[in-house]
Amino acid sequence: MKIRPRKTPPTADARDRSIKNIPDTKLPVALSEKMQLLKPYIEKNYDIITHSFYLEGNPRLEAVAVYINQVIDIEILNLHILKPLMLNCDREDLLTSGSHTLIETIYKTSITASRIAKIANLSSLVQTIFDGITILMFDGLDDVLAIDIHGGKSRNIDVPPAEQTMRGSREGFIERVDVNIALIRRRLRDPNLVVEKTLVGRRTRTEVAILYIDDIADPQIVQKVKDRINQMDIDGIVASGYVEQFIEDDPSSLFPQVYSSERPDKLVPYLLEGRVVIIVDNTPLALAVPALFVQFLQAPEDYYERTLFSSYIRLMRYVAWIVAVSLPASYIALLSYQPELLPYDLLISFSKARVAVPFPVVVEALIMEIIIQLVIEAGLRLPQQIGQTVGVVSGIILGQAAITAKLASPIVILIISVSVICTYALPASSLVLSTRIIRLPMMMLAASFGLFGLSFGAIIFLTHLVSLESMGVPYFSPLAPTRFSDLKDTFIRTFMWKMNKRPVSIPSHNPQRQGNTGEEND
Amino acid sequence: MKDKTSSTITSKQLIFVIIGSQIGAGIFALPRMVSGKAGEDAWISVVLGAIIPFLSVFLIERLGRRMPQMGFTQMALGLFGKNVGSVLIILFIAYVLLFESLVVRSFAEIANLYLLPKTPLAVVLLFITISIVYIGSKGVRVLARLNEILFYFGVLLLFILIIPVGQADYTNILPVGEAGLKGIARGALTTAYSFAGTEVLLVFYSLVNKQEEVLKAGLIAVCITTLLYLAMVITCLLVFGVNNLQRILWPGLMLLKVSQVPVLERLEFIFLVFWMGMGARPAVNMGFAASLSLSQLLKIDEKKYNTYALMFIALAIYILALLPHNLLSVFKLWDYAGYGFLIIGLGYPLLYHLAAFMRGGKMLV
Repeated sequence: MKIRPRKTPPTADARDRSIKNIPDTKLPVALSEKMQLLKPYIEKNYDIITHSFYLEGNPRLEAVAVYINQVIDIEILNLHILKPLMLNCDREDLLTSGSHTLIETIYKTSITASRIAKIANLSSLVQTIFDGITILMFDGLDDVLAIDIHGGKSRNIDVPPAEQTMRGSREGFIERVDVNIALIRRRLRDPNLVVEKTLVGRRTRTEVAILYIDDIADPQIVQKVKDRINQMDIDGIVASGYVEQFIEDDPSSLFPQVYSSERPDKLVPYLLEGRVVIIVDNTPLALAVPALFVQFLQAPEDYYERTLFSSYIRLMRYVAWIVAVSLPASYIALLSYQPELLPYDLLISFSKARVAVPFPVVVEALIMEIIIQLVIEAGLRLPQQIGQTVGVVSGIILGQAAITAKLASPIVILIISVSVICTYALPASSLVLSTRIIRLPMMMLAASFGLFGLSFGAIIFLTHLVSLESMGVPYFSPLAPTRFSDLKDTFIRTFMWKMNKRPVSIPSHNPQRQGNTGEEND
Repeated sequence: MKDKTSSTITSKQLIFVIIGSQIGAGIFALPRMVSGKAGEDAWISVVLGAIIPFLSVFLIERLGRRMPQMGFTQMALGLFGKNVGSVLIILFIAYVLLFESLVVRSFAEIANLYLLPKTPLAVVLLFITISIVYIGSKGVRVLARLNEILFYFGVLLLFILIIPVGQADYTNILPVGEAGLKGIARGALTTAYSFAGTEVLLVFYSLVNKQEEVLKAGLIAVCITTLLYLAMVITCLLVFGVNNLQRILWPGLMLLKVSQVPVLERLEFIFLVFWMGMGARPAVNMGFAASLSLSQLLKIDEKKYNTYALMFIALAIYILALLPHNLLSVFKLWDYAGYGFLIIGLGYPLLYHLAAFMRGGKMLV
């Protein structure tokens, strides 16, 4: 297996380069000196608010709160931190007993401020402010308090638009990493569920959470995920897609090797199977590794609906994928090289439909394919109402016009449309993308070498699929290497009470999933 | 640790690698070739012919067990010294080149006959050569996995072939023993040539992670191949009869003409499209074995340069495959390749055993 050469992990020094130009000086005692030191870093920023206030005593003790507007919860700051401090804290108490009392006081008087830390030097003070943490500075105390009261507006938990479901939970991830973790925690109350956080991106300092169940997940895979995330050396990430591209095994492959979803009820079963989930702040899409190819053809509804129907639908998806990849190519190959393979009557109706079209089959099919791809792309970013209009215009008017203008035969429009429909029958959007691409080389091969080209393409893609790995786990298992015990949840989905073992395709050190066996259930 | 797992295969995968090296396009011609010698008793010949590959697997396994940690080239150099050992390895590589060029050529001839009548043979061969290099460059684990999945495909396909057995005339294999011992024996030898591919074990033995299971895996592989050959030969005999068989170039493919399928006019096309992966498979496996031996012989870094060795091997196969004038000369050459199999599959392990016995465990290099 080929892994692109990874650079040696950046040292802590290199990772903190962005704040390195801030001197590591110890903070002075006097408030005015502290403000003087801090001033060059915050004075240009309109959104950083410095709020002076006084504590009781004689003379009154001057203090300053520094925070970023709309990033913290201003109500908590005012009601639960500043107000109690101003009313209950004496200057004398504070100066004699130091910052310990202060922390104590805030803990006791404020119900919401849960995480408080002390900061003693300038560089971490500046970084803490920009991390969105409220700072309290007091005259006469060298320690500065950092209180984590994140707040501000964010989107409500909503139905995930790209992954609708009939029977499952309607909750989708939002942009806040803590809320997303909570969505998973609420569904998985196992004390063994580990949530680790790291910061990625030198400048964006984005929170990335790594979730796994400690006594199920394979420690080697967990370590591999952590290592690859820690090796990311980038100045900024704004979406989980960045992380995906940095951690996947073969970045130049057409196939997705990291599963992404915005539904917590999809990821909880994956955690239970021993996978590792990665949640990136500011992205409603969480990632799950290791991913298997078959996983992209499975939907959570397969487990919510009854077994027979789920198995039927799952088989249909495999058919859909094969049709989506090979139907236009087969049409080209059959019509341009091996027409004798088709039944006589069918061939006649095909050629009658094509009689007025001046292009070879491949050109005709390619034109339609490209138009359809562009229509999809055009509809994607438009508002829903206009998007529908584009769909109708392209579907009815363009198609009809193309036929009347003798640019394409009805058959080719049918073939391309069927393959597009089949593409979108796939449940995972990342596989949809790769399917859209694969269709093109297959069409080219079919156009150049007929069915032989098709089968050459198939063997190359098969080899590629078999050679892929996701976090070192064979991507095409349970098909190759064949794991027979996993086949009961591959093409079909067997009865829930029969799936007593976790899938062996995903390494885990706790193979038993559930205790009851089929026999006991009778 | 990582190094070891990335370049080893399981004994289960070894089964598929051996089967994959044995079954190629030859299976379609086998019924004609065997029944030409043994007549109605061709099926007995197939069973008897399996003795030779069994023997070959057994001998190679014993050899590997004698020197478990040594690869094929190390063994040759260690037992026979640098000069003789190198010659032996080069002979092995030459055999692979000749043999696989025939495999590839027959396969390309079939593709040309059925799928691409107007495309030059050179182009078809080029595509097969590209697949050999591409698959081999992915390493032994991918090779094994691919063999595994293609095996299941292959068994499914062969089931399609056996469908016409319903229209068979069982008197076609009667009377038993008509060909006489001599005929059966000649047929058995012909079949034995079709079992060529067990010699891949010479190289793959050291790549298996559980070597104590190699013998079992090898025997299972030969058993499966025998069963598939037997099914093919019996079906062809029953459906066509001995006399008709002699006039059919690829009887195995002709079976597809017998059964009628509603939507598709001619089944053999579809069949061949799926067979494509399997036709090149022996060349992929053996080519990989040869390239591995070559890079070991030249003492170059296997991981880094195996692909280049493979390119060289594949190019040689490509050129050699283009040499025969027509299919008839290919069929004639098959017999020589059969002798080659006897030498490499049986003679080599015997020779090695002898040398190891004489040396008494001491190595030259």
